[in-house]
Amino acid sequence: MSAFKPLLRVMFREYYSPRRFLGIGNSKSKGKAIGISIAVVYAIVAMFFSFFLMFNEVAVMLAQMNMLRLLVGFVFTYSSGFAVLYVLLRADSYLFHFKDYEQVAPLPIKPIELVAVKVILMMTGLYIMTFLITAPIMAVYFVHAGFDVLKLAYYLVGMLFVPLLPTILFSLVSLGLHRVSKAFRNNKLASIILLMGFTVALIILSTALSLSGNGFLIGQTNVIEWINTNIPISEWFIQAVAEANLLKLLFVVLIGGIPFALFVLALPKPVLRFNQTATNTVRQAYGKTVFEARGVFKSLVRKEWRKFFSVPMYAMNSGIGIVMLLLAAGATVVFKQDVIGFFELPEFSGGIAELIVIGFIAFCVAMVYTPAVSLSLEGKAFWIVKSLPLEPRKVMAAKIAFNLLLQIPAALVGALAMSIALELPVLSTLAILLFVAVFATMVSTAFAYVNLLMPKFDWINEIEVVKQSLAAVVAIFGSFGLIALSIVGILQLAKVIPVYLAILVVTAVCLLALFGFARLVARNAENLFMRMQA
Amino acid sequence: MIEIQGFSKSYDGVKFACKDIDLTIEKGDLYGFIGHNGAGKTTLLKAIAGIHGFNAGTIRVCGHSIQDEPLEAKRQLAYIPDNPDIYESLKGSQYLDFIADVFGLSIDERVKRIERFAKMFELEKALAQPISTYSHGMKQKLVLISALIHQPKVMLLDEPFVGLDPKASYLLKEVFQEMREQGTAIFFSTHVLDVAEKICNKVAIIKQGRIVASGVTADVVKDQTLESLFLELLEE
Repeated sequence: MSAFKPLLRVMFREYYSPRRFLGIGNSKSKGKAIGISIAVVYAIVAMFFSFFLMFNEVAVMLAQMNMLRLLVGFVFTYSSGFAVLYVLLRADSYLFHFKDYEQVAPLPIKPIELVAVKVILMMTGLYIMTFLITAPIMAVYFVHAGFDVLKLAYYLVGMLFVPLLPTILFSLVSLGLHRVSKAFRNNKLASIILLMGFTVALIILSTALSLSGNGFLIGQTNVIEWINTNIPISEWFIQAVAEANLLKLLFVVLIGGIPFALFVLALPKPVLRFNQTATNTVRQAYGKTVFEARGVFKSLVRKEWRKFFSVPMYAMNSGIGIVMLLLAAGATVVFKQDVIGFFELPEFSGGIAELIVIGFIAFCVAMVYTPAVSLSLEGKAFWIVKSLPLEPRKVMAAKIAFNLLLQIPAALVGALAMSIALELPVLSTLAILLFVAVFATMVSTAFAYVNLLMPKFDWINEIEVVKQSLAAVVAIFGSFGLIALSIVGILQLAKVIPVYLAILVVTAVCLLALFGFARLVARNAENLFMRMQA
Repeated sequence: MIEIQGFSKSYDGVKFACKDIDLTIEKGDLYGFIGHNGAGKTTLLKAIAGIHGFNAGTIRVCGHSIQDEPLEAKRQLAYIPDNPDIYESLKGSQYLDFIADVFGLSIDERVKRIERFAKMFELEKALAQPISTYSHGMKQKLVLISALIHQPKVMLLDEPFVGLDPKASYLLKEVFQEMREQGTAIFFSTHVLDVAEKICNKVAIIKQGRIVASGVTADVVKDQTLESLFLELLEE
């Protein structure tokens, strides 16, 4: 009797049920479920139309050059590119080192069935995301090129096979990084550095390529053209969809499908070995036991610090903003003339350099969102802080303080370096520094409140909380909204008062918002803690 | 030390996990809490520890209401859950440091007590290791040590003997006796009826969220065994 179907069913429930994925499904919280569902639909619709409008502009430009088919090239590149990042961060836990291995290993399940289920689980998430990203581009394509059912069908089939080659390649890269990091004494830190380095390198490469033309979009179009010319499967996919070419679709299916099938068939043996080795880890010699006394608050912050650096996926995802900040600051100083020249491009004409600095720094600051997930990451150990004589608001304050320790130094260094490189006036620089400090504190406090409202203690892998929990999504997208509001506010005020004063006025508003969020956290933490059941 | 009056708790607002519970655990009591799975033992223990809120009644720990003065109440108690889920990112020593920091133990006090209990439970060498490498029993021992180092006046334990090896179980019973003599009130749930009968001066039996028998062990059991009484009460 095959265990494939029941295993797949139970795993889907475990990974993708509304209760697990969004933290809803409890009959008691209908209002919350409706609210969350509306928020999710809103986020999807907002994302669809943002991409639609953005690519509509590209389509107009491409249509003038009779190159509309290049939009399909964007679909190929975006889905492949997303697959690279998605697989790089997830393949190790989905395909190679199972958190639930000890639960499934004693069951009479064929290894190939177990691996197939895990592959399906990972690919389902990947397909959902790539579809959400590429559907608006295809919608723009159909609006400009005319709708065709066959082309739509070929797009849908093609999308199942396009991410397969990057999936194979970057699963192996993910495994390789895991193996390399294991060779280090502090393998968690090594893993964070390797993953971070790899991801940053990919971001730098793609950004550098995108900026290689006379503007961001044109630069990207040049990259897509280069990919089409040099990577045959991209051109086949474009021909399959844009020309409804069945033969080229078959090429795409075979070139992706056959290696992927072989990859999946080859997985069971090594995967079993990895997991068996992991459960039989021989204890190494550890250092001397040292005890240190410190204040409660400091102890709580230190606990957050240790958690952050012990979970590579956590550090990687919620710490990338710091790396981006420092890299950008360094790059701005080193390539000062190029950056100043870049701001003179048509897209930035009439723009204010202060706004660019504020927008970028605030964006990076918002990407450091540990307070939005750290309460959820307490998971089943949440009983500890609940049973100890600790004020819930102190626990939350420590989580905020830890985030500020991560954010503020990098944000201030980044803002200062960029301000100096762009030769901003002293008053503007000081105003920017003040804004950055207040904005970082405000979003960190807001993140903590979001996690208090939307905790997710029921998780198997930390990545479910860090990347997929509702609190993380709401925090990141919500903070983008706050950035947009700040920029619009400064832009409007700068029409009537000097820019530095406009920044200071918006900083004052952020300060008020900070007090508001701090009050919400302080007043509600205790009550919300008691209602939470980990 | 623990006064529970009219305690009721419902998770869904319909069915009560515990209903109208009155119980008093006095200084030096070693109080066994017995009941079938899902009877409401963990619910009551978690409510006393301030982990769960509740719908009705009052719980006072050393005179402090767990609802109105949670910090004062929690400073007097230690809670040990049935499943030792603890911070796996920390080393054993770091976890104990964290607990000692929360209770404001000086470096000398903590080192002395940790060394004593770590030696007793044979965990000294493992304290430098990450908790993620610990077995279930080792985690259980670490949680026990973390509860003992701050010398609580009230100990709440949910199934403390599950997962412990025979030597550790024996030592825990010894520690219970020692703490009892020092005036600590110990309230623990268990399924091991003969242990409860042997070591507890008082027992309470909970059935479907209600206390059906409680008091001095000898008075409750009378001429039967605790096991036969428990089964009899279950069948009623």
